[in-house]
Order: sequence, then structure tokens, then C-alpha cells
Amino acid sequence: MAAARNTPPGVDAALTDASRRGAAASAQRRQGVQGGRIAPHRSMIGLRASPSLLLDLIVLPAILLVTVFVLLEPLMEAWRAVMETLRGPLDLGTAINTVVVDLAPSVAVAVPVYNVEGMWPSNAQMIGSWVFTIVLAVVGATLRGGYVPLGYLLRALAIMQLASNVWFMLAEPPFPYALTVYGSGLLVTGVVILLLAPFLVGATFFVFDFPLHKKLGLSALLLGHLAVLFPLQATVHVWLIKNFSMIAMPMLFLIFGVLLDVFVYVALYGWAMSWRSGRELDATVRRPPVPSRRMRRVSSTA
Amino acid sequence: MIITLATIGLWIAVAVLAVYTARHYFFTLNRLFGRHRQPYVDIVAGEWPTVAVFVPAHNESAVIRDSLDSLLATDYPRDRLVIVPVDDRSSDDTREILLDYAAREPYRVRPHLRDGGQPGKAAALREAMELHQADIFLVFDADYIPGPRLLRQLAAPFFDPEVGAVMGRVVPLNVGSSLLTRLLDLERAGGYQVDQQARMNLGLVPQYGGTVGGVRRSALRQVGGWRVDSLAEDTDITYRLLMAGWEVVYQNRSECYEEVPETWDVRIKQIQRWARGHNQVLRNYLGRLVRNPIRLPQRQVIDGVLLLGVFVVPLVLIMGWICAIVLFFTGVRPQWGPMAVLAVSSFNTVGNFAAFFQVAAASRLDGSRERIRVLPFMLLGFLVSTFAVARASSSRSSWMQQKDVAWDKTTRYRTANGNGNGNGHGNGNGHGKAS
Amino acid sequence: MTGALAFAGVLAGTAAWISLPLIPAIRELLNPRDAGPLDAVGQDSGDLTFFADSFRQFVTSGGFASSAAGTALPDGREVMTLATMSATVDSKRTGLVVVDNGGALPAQSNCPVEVYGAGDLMIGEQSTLRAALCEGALTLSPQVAILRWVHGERSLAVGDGSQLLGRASSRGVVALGRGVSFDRVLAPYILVGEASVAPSTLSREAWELQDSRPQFALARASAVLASQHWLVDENLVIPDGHVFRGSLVVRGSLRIGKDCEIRGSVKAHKTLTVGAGAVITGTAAGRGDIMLQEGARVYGPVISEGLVTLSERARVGLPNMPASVSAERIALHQGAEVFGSLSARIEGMTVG
Repeated sequence: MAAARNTPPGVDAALTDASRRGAAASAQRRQGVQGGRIAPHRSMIGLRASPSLLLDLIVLPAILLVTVFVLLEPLMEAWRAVMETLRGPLDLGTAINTVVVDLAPSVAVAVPVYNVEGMWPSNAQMIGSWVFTIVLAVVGATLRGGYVPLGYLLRALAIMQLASNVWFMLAEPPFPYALTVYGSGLLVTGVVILLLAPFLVGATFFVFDFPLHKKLGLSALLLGHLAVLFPLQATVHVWLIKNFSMIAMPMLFLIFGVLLDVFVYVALYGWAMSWRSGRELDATVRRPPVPSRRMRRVSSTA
Repeated sequence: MIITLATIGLWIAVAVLAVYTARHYFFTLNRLFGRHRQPYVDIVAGEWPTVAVFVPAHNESAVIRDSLDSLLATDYPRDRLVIVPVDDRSSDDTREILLDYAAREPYRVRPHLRDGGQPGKAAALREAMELHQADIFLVFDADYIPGPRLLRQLAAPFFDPEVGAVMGRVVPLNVGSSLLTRLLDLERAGGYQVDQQARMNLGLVPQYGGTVGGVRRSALRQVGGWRVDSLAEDTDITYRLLMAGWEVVYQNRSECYEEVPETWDVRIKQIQRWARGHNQVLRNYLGRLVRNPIRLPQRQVIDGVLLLGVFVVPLVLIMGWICAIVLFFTGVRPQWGPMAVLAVSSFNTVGNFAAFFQVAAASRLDGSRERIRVLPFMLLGFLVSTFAVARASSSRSSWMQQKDVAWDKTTRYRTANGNGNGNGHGNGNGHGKAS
Repeated sequence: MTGALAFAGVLAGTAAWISLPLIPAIRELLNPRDAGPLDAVGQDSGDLTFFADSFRQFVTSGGFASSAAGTALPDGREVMTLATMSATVDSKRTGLVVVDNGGALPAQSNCPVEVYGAGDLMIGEQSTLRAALCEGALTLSPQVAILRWVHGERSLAVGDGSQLLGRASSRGVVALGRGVSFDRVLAPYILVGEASVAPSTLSREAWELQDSRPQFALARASAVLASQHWLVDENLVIPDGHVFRGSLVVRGSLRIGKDCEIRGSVKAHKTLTVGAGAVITGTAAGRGDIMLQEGARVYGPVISEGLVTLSERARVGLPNMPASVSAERIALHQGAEVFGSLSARIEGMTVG
């Protein structure tokens, strides 16, 4: 409290002294009679920024980033092994190729890729796509009640597929994207997501007062899950495009690509945010709702 | 030409989403770590102003008794409180119930009964308020259940001569009824516990939501009263007060129960009504807000503009998607490699992720843990909201002057005999929105 | 179509893998563990005697007010009397200390449970109490710390250097000594110093305008907020001895001169200074600090987001028109008086 704030002599010193003594007693003050912790109301609660939090926000993601970098090469080998295993039964080409991608100056990654080509849709495939679109639209439009969100999703997919149908009806070959490039692009995107994920977790989860092992736990779950998901996702996409032609690619790319990966993160994040922190965020009192006549009435209808 | 337009459109969408993402994130960090501003919550003594509590009602027999009972049980000084249920052409027995209460509490319950005039909540409020001289006008929807101390808490900020309107926190009561109510519970938590409070902390523009709050009579009169042609008279009055120099404040501690929509149809109708009303306000006041004749702080102008734009964002989002699809088919490759691929293909979800962060943070601040687990289902909620709002925001009624504003009712789920499976009636602006 | 069966397997596996993180969400949806409404109807907020009243209800309804030592509380812990009380009370064994009328807790008592005083009660120097309810006059000797709440039904006298953490209240007078820190205080009459004047002897002041005083007229207002209600965009000084009718919001600093009279409410975005002997009949609000100089009076609430200083003989509220002082920090000088309540969100202190 600066003197410039028009405070009379003695006020600042007295208030500071009061603060010191108040802080000394605050721990006792928050202690319930029987050892519990008395928490402020939820409208008042907040977190405190601390040097350790800063470390969590900067150092922890950096360590995770380095870890991902270090593990990239064995991870690519693992992806290659998975794809090699699936290649035969799924009839996805004769060999797994390698595409070297520069992630940054002097940082490259050798991404495995299926060596298969996607075809321009045949008439039968075009008709199939139209039927698929109509089914999506009709089912999406007829869903009611609790299925309305699903109906919206199906209608969005129908619109997406409709755009593909129209484009492939009007355009001439070749399609702007080769399936090999698309496949490698998916996996490269996956690598980028793995590299960015520590910072996303840092920005959205490490800011809370969870203990270190829980912060690392969510990071490991997320990175582990995505690391397994990416080659499977790429395999499914490549197989579908190979067998149903390029007309399947737009929807797969725009709807079942990164969006799906983000969905996985949201699900894991939602779960992790429900974990106990054991600290400030667990402290808010959650008394049972006041058992009024109105409340009972409402709860009885649930 | 098409490619250029699509590229520009896409990056505009990405930029808009980036701004709103940053806003969500900034607000959440502020609420978590910033100075918590609640300057009025500790005012327990004073020459309390006279208060008139208006309860707009249209076919509310299912819920109106609970609301009136709660209001009569508040600890506000009896000689300074009058409760004005406003019945607007109810066809059920709402009117009989109000007359019964008026007979029992003639000094405190003074119903205003309407059989004619312009329909709509704003028109009903305007007409009823012109007949009362209380210092403060508080408004509660008919399904809201205020606690015993709520009126004092909501009246206290008006001791501050700069405060023109006050908004409290709306808390869903029927949380466990359906997936939708669980999602709306999370959304409300994010909207109030984080978004509104952060605005309050930062001295921005907390939004008056039309219920669980109120306005100063002299301020209301000075800015011309309720606009009867407005679909969102609450947002409308927020901006008119702001631009007249008044402050709108939010009280996080002042909580009140509401019923949230339990079915998607009702929810879609509700959010489309909000969108249309909000966009009318955007049309009416954006220019004046930007010109800023009252010399508001820049931060308030920026926040005010962003708040005005919230229901246009879904349109921008869909435009971004269309541009992305066009660019995809034309084979235009993003220029910055994998980073651009990420931005293009996931800009909306990453943008939304800040909203997930906000919602999760709010629930933790509320002391709720397990309910955050349903977070991934919010993607479905976002999808529905995006399309529903985009449809409303692209409609003519969003941007054209309204001639007739009717009661647009949100379904109620309680019934007078305690059975919650009634078909539900409900009144107007079942608000609680906090964008 | 080649490898369809194998693909079905891969697709199913991928879908299952994607669904795995959804299991907690689906479980919560099917078997809700956290789907109740928040407890929005709080009873205790804004009622500074809520804890004391609830405690009295507990003590009287349970018949503990006149308990003998060793009586068991519902949770199994014992009631302790002054005769059986040790200097340090063990909260695991003892749940309540009951003191008869006129009793005194010895100096340096450490009592982490509630104390009930059936009549007048004295707390010895340097004691630490969790909470205390006294049905008569309660006297806290110097250097006493109250951790949660304290209520003296007839009066509460707080010794020098004491700490009142949480709520302190009385239905009579609260007299604060020097160097007392506090959070929230409620009483019809709160003063810094010894309570020599009973609040009932103070009458509501009349504030008839003195025609002889010059009226202050605003040179320029940025906006008319309402009738007799103005917004001023810059710093403002109201010269000594002037009268102003109406309410003012000043976006800069506001200085109200000596012996001025404001018939309305004022707010300043920066500092607000109320000169010696000046009177504000409504609210004094500020986003910054508020200073009430010697003998200044505000009849309505004083609301600040910074420091509120009440100099000697400054007064807030009136006996039959209580008002709150609410701020981040509050500093009270000797002789300052408040009819109503004090609420310091960070710290409050008596000075001098």
C-alpha cells in the first residue's frame, strides 16, 4: 500500500502487521472443530499462482516434448510394425514405404506409409455414395427426442458427402490428392499432435492444482492413446478410400480426422478433471441441497 | 477467384475463432487466478431501497406458487418490498392463483393483470413497471426459486450510484433429468462461474440476463424503458445502460434456481430466440458502441463488441467449414505444412476446447467433480447449438425490426401437484445465458 | 473388396480404442454420481450472527447451557466447565466449554472449540479461542485471538492487539481497542475506543440544508445518468463549505471539501476524500481508496475496492439507519464510529 495513496501515517504499518498475524492464524482458522477443512463458498474460491505452477506450465510440457522427440524413432518403428502386420490381411499394397518429413530445421521424421493408390469413383461407387448420402439425410431428419444431436450429426455428414458427390459428378480426374500422400499426411499430423499435446495439456490441465503424478498421468494416457490410435486411424482411412474410391476421402479427412483426435482428448480431459486434486479445488463445500418442499418435489420426479 | 475468396473466408473464420478462443481462455485464467471482485456482497446494512419484484407469467399455474412463496419468505424489509406478478392473458388458472395470493398478502402482492395490449415479456414488464415507483425493479421468471437472502444481495449493489443493473447467478435445478440438462448445467456453470465473474473482475460488460437481477428505476427511465419490440430485452437494456454511462454488475454469490430445458426441441427453440434477440441488439447498437460517445474504456468497448457477436460466430464457423471444403476440393495446399493442416481441419474443435476448459474449470470451482466426465458429450451440444444458432442468425427476423413480439415460452417440467411429467407451460425469456 | 473381414476387425478394434476414454462419461451418464443441483439456497451469507444464532440454538435445544462437566454432546465429546478446563483444550475429547455468569477464562487459554458464556464473560490475555458466544457482556483482554466468530449479546469489548478473524458481533456495542485486526464486525454501534456513550442516547441527526451555504454547481458533466444524477469524466473538487444536491459518479478522483454537504450518493473511480466535517447523506463508493477525514460523516454505506480510512471521529451510519463499510482493507482511527457493519475482505485494523 503506497504512501501515495493518501493513507495517514501508521495505517500501512498497522495493516501489514495485521496481515502477518492473520496469516499465521489462518491455517488454524480454516480447521474444522473435528479436523476437517472449512472452505470458502464456491463464489469466492480461486487458485494461487506460484513459482511451482510456472514450472509446471513451462518445464513439464518441455520435458514431455523432449520425451516425445526421443521416442519418435521407436514410435515410427512401432507404427511401421503395426502397419506391416495389417498390410497383408487388409491387402494394402506390397510394402510399407517411408516418407521423410521435416518437422523443423534439422528435425526430420521417417513416417511409414501404405503404398496404395486411390481410384476415381466408378458409376457404381457414385450411386452407392448417393444412396449413403440419402440414408444419412433421411435417418438424420427422422431422429427425434433424445436422438436429435445424433440427427444433427448425421445431417452434417450427409451435407459433407453431398458436397463430395456433386464435386465428383462435375470434376474431371485426377483428384488433387494421392492416397499415399493422404496417408502419410494423416500420420504426420499425428506426429504434430503428439508434439503439441504436452502444451495443450499444460495450458488446460497443468494450470490446476493436481499433484504431479496426476498431471503426468493424463499426459501419459493421452500420448499413449493417440500413439496407438494414429496408425489404426490411418489404416482405416486408407482401406476405406482404396475400396470405396476417393469419394470417401473428404468426409474422412474433415470429420473423422483431427476432429476425432480432439474428441479423444476431450474425453480423457473430462475424466482427468474429475480426479481429486487433494488441494484447493477439492475444498469447496458441497453441502447437500436444502431439503425444501420444492426440492423434494423436483427430485421425486427424476 | 473462388480460391481467393475461400482462402480469405477460411482465415477470417480462423481469426474470429482464435479471438473467441483467446477470450475464453483469458476469462478462465482470470477467474482462476485473478483478483476476485465482489464489492457488494458484504453490504448487510443500509437504508434499503424500495424494491418491486416483477414476475412475468403466462400460463404458469404449475410453478407460480413456488416462486411467490419463496419471494414472500425472503428477509427483505417488509415495508420496502412489493411483489408484482404480471399475468399476461393466461388461459390456465394462473390468474386465480395470483388473486388468491393478493387476497392473503394485499400489501405485498399486487398482481398486474393484462387482457390486452402488446404481447410479450418486455411489453408486459414495461406496462407493469410504469405503475410502480419503487427505487429498484427486480425481475424473476415464474419458475425461479429465490433463496431467503437473495433480494438483499441483489439490491445491495444499487447503493453504488453508478450501478444501473445487477445480475445474479442462475443455477439449474433439474440437473439430472436428461443428457441435455446435464450439458446445460455444465454450460451454465461456465457461463456464470467463469465468464460473467471474469467480466466482473476485469471491469468489462457483465450481462444482465433478464431474471435473477434487476434495474434501477431511474436508470431504466433515463434510457427509455424496456423496448417492446425486442426479443432480448435483457441484452438490449444491458447495452443501453452501458452506453448511457451506467454500470452493469454481476454477483456470483447471488444464486437462484431455474429449470433448464429437458428436451432438445425446447432447447433449440430457446437458443434460437436468444440468437435472434441478441442479433437485433447487435444491429441496433454496434455502430454506436464502436463510436463510443460516452468515452467508455476501450476494454469495455472490445468486450461489448465481442459479446454482441457471440451468436454470429456459428455463422462464421459454418462459413469457415464451407471455405475449408472448397479449398479441399480445389486441391489448394496450406502454406505452412502440418501446422496449417491442423489449423484448417480442427480450428473449430480447438476453438471449442477453450470452452471445455472454461466449463471444466467452472465445475471444479463449484466443487463438482464427477459431472465433468460428461464433457465429451458437449461436442454434440455444440453441434446442435451451432446449426440452430446459425439458422436463427441467418434468418430475416434476426436482423429486421420486429413488429409483433409474442410470448415465446420455455417448457416447464414441474406441475402444481408435484408431478414433474406435466406437458409444461412456461414463460418467456427463460434466461441464464451468459455467453 | 479385399480383406473385408479383416477390415471389420480392425474397424471394430479402432472404434473400441476410440471409445475407451468415453467409459467414465458413459458410466456417469448411466449411473449418475454427481447430478444433483448445487446448494444454491445458502442461509448464512450476509447474516453475520448466523453462526452465533445457530450455536445458541444448539446449546439451548440440547440443554447444554447449564451442563455439568462431562455431559456428552451428540458426537460423543464432552462438555467442559471452567472448573475442569485446562489451559489447552483437546478438541478430540472436548466439544464445548460452558462458563457461568461472571466467569473468566484464564490468560493464555487455548480453546479450539466453542465457548458458551451464560452471562458476562472475560477472556484472559493472549488466549486463542475458536469461537465464543456470550449472553451478557463479553470482554476480550489484550492479545486475544478469535479464529471463527465471537458474539457478545449485550456488548463486546476487544482489548488492544486482539485479532478477530471471521465474524464479531453484538446486539449492543462493539468497542475496539488499539491495534485490533478484524474481518467482519456487526453491531448497532461499533467504535474505536471505550464505549462511553450508549447508542440509544445518540439520536438521528437532522441534516436540514443551511441556506447560508453556497450551492455547488457542476461546470460540466459527461452525462446525465438520471434526474439529479451525473457522470463526470475527470477529477473533481467540491470546495469547502458547499452544498451539493444529487448523486455524482466521477471517473477520476473526487475531493469533497471541509464541511461540505452532499445530499445524495457519490462514487469515484480513483480516490475519494471526504473532508473534515463533511456529510454525505447517501453512499460513498469508490473503486480506489476512500478517506473520511476528521469528523466526516457518511450516512449510507461506504463501499470501496481499496482501503477505507475512518479518521478520528469519522462516522458511518446513524443509530436508526445502520450502514455497512465494505472494502478490501479498512483502517479505523481512535474515535471512529460505525452504526452497522464492517467488512474487510483482506484486512481491517484499528490504528493509533
